[in-house]
Amino acid sequence: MLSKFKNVDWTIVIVILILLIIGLFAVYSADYGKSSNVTFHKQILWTFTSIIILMLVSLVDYPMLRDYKWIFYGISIVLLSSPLIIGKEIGGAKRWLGIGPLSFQPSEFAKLFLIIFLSAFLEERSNAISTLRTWTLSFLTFLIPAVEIALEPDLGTAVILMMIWFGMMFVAGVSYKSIVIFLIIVLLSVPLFYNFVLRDYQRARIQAFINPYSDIRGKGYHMVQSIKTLGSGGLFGRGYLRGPQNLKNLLPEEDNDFIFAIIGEELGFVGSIVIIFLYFVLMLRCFRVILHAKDVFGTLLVSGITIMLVLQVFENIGMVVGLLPITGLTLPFISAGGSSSTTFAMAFGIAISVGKKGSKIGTVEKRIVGGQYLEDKSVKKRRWKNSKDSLE
Amino acid sequence: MNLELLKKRSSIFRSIVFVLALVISLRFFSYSIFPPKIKRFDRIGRVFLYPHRGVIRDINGIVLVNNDIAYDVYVDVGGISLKQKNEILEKLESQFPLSKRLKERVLSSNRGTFLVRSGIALRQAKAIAGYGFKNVVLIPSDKRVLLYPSLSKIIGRTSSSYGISGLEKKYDVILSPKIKGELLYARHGKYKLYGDTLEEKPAVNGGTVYTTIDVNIQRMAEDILKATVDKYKGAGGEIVVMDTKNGGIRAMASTGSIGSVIGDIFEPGSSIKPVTVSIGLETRSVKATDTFYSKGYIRPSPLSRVIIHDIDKYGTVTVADAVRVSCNVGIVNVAKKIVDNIGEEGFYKYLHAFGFGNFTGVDLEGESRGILRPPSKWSAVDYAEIAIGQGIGVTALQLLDAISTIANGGVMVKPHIVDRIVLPDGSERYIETKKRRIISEDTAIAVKKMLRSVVTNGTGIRASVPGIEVAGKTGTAQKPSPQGGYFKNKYYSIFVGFYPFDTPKYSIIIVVDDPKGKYYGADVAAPAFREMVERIVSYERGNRFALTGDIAPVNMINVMNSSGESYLPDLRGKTLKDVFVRYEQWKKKYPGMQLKIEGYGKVVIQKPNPGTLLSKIMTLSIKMKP
Repeated sequence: MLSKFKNVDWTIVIVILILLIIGLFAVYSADYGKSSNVTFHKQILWTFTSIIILMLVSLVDYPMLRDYKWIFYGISIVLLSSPLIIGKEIGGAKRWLGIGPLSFQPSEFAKLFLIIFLSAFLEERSNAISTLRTWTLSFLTFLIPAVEIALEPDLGTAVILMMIWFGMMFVAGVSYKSIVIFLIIVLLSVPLFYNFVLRDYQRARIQAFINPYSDIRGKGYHMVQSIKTLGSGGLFGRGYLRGPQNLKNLLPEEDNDFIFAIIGEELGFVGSIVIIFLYFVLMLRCFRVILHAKDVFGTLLVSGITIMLVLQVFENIGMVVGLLPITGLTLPFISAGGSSSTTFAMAFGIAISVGKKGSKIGTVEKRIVGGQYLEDKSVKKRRWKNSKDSLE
Repeated sequence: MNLELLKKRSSIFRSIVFVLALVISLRFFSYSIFPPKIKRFDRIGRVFLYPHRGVIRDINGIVLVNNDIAYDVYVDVGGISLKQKNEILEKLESQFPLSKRLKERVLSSNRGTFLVRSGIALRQAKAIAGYGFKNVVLIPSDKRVLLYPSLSKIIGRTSSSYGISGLEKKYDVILSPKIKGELLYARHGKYKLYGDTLEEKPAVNGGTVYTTIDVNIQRMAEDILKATVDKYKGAGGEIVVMDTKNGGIRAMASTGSIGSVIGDIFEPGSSIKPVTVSIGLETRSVKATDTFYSKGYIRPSPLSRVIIHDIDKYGTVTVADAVRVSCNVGIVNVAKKIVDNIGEEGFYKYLHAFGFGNFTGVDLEGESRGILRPPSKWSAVDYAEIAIGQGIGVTALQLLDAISTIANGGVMVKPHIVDRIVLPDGSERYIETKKRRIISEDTAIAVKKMLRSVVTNGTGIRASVPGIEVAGKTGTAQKPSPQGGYFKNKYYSIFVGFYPFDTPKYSIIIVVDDPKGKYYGADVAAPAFREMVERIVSYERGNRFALTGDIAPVNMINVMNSSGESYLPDLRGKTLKDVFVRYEQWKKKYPGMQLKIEGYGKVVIQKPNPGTLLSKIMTLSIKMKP
């Protein structure tokens, strides 16, 4: 049994644990002073569930996942259709599926399943990656779930899904020429999309993003409050459980989408930067796994997961600091809610699984220093630079 | 080969992540170092808490006038079209009538806010709110609910939350709602309102005015007055019950022809005689034992042909007997001695000191001075006429106050209707009771004894109450005719007295205007006085809750829902009596209701809780603590 945990990238595990614990504290603080702290109690449960899922999934032999790619795709489509038919309406959107007392957001799981599907799909077509057929097929297979998500309506996740697709296409090695053509098509369709597809509130959010102070009581409210909350923290923060904006519950969705604003208010710039740094470390470890992955499937899999992580972390923090428009995307491992935590736990379980089977550090080093196996620490420190050099 | 390309692309992706991380961190840094200014109110919602007008209570704390929630309807005509105005007016008119003038004003104005209706009930306000007009504003206001309509004259009325008559006007400064409170709560955007209260500044209601009225005595007085006037088919009547010691008016009522106890004037007739005798004794013009001879009539002045008659030839009477049997000749003789001794001017001054021709100073509106002409305008016989209560006009309260002065051992008190005021901060202020000595105690005691003898074996024998030492004086005055002179067969029947003899507690006056059949004060007013005394005594002996009669408070249970069902009010802090008074009312409607009482003092625990439907209560249990 223990041997199964051999070669596990413990840095990933530890960083995730730290983020989960920070998440617990943050959720407690966000709910502090409210009439009920049910969210916090649920979050304790979700934290443990996430850790167990992370461990279990890391034991999975990832190459076998490619055999089930259509099953994953089918599940995604079914999962995403279900809330539209039998979903629970929360905050005017049907994004949730209720099972007994729990409710979950299928779009979170769908993102991961679609990454698995696309990795296997692109691996199959790796020899004809830039062809129109690959572009069209992969685009359509992602467009269907994205439209479903957009109908919930959850435009943010839909856009993220398409960005994951695009990112994975990029990593998969499509030619720069085809990328440029695709981007031109996208740019041309944006005005059309904005005027005819988006709903009023979605347009309002984008307008609020462009000028949040135009309507601080209405459309720009979230953003202005978020910036204020963050700003009230200053360099070192107001202290844990002492954020005035937090205690007055002035910020909506403070235990979820906007949890980072609360952290910023109570722990200040220093606390926030520590969390950003933790995410950064996690991302770098993911890249390490990517670079050492032994096959195309593993590389694409972890790339997709990393893209998902990067997009969500930066979109969430970016929206809190007013850099990006407001979406319902969660901050991985920290935001309250089971769907998000367990999805990311599953994703990183897979990433660890890929990491375990990746080429040994030594073999890479060997290639770098011309056949010599070295465990020298100075070499290890220069490893990133070197490994990059070796690829070019 | 292909894998190599993948790794290369991953490295490019990694570089993008580095840039993103840098940008986010920098943005973060800038917000932390230069925090945006936070404005105070764009994130806080506020609700005004409107203060209520103060309550007026009786001396035991029973509420006489209370507030009901009502709404004032305003129309803001700014920025709406004629069509919209018409639509608004049409809808409002379906709820209540609107005057043509108001409608024209609303239609012709382009800005401003118009009060279109005040004091509408909650149900109507809800209906109006349901129309969803942005320009129709509903502001809660108080609608006064008079729980004892018979006291309406004393309490007065309000208009738009201002007192315009009676106590409402006089104590408007105390009663008026004080400070508007507010409730601040977190406001989350346009569509999301959280209930999180940030701060609550409670509204400061108006102060409470405690009157000297005792609703129970008031009700008895009303009962007896009505019964007496009905029995003798009188044109009207009036009654006042006053605390002899401090002048607090416990009850006052008038009916029929008489509009007001303090405003309507009548000739006191014989009932003024104790005052004449007091002046005689005080100025040592006569002694109680002095005797006069009555041959049935007297000519008071050789300068006038006027002759004053008695109903009988009394023969030799003492001064005391003159009061006891109400002998006019004896009293005229006393008056003659007074005038001989101190002159008409002196007599007038004493009468004035007894309060005739003068305001009593009662804290009520519409008081009359009465009529007491100065001696310069007196004819030769006027001194004698006045001495027996003719040619002088008094109010019931003046006469009662004068007789109370004698009862009080010569000290006059100022009648008043307000006992104390409780300010919004909880501090109490008692109304100052002015006292001044008019005659010596010896004189007063001598006259008191005479008044006692009136009841024991004089004209007032029908006023006597077994076991209670009652004293008083009858009076029968001819009614002046508007054409001049007197009606031949129209009288005022009067009894004014007090009890108990030694330390008088209550002074009572009863006047019946134009009783038919019997008309002497001894026959009409004296029995009514006796009944009044009996009932007060019985009430004060502990039978405080015996609420009979039909002048029950109309709205004792004033917490009612729209279908007329009543809810249990909050009884906590109430006295046993308060609870009992309400319970008696409820029991009439819900005969099955039981009352369980534990302890004494004030209610601390009640079961069931306030707000329970009365019809559902089987047993009302209360726990009391001092």
